[in-house]
Amino acid sequence: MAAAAASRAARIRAVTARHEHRSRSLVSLLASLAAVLAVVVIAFASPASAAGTRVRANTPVAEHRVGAAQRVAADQVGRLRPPAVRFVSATGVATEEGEGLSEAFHYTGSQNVASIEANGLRAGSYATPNGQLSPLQAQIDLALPPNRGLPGATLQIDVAGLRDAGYEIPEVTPVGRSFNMPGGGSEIQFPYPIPPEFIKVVP
Amino acid sequence: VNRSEVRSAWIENQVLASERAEASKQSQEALLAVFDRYRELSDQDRAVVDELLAEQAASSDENARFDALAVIGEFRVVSALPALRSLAERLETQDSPGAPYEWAKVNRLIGLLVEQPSGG
Repeated sequence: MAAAAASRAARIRAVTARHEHRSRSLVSLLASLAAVLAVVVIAFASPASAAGTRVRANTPVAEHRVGAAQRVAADQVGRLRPPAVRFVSATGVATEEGEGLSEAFHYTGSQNVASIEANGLRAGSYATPNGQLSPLQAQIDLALPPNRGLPGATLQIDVAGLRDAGYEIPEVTPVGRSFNMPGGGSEIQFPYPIPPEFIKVVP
Repeated sequence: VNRSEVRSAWIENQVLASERAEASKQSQEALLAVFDRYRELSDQDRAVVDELLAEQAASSDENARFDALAVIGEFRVVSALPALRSLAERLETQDSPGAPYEWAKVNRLIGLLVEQPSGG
């Protein structure tokens, strides 16, 4: 009798242990699934994942190549963009590092405007975050050569748009002295051509 | 002046104009210098340079390609049309950030040359 009771108790313990083991396995499986899901969500939401996404939602070119789903993803990434880091240049003008910059300005001779509007800016072009410079200030602060005359035109470059399209935005650097001009402003040099879609003439 | 000298002179002028423009922080000025040089060419030399421009339009050198496309557009170099069509096809399969914009530019250029083939 006692032996039968002991055997029954042993069977009950074995069954209970099996149930507990199954429960632990299920919890472990659910935890693993949650971890995988979290990794996928983070990967899709990070700016790094968007680096290869060529998106320019408001241009015909991107409309041609990019689906609506990708544009939505890019919009989400845009919202997750870290805040701009600001610094103050030698002239006291607050500017932003290339990573957070949304627009930059190219000061040039009026004779270049038509060519820029048609072809875009050539690789190696300079711009500055400061769009409020007079022609004379631009020549001094940006150390432009005085023998070319004052820059009579200002062009606005859509840096945020370039970034969204997948371009890497170079760093903003202080302008040093050259051509007997003191410099002191800040500048950014683009190592690639800038398409005309990202440029507009400041009236 | 033979064909090879015309080509060399054009390339040399292009490189110098580019260096000068970049040194003066006005990279775009290289284009104006190249346009001026093209205007000075005789008809015979233009034919040689037009051939070179078509080759440069297919070049992997971004600035050479940029300048060539600008000259082709400015002076309506219709003989470059086959090269432009090849470039447009190549750009279609590229996934660099600038590829779709250059593709659009090349297509605009093709449209311009097809519609208004008169040279400047």
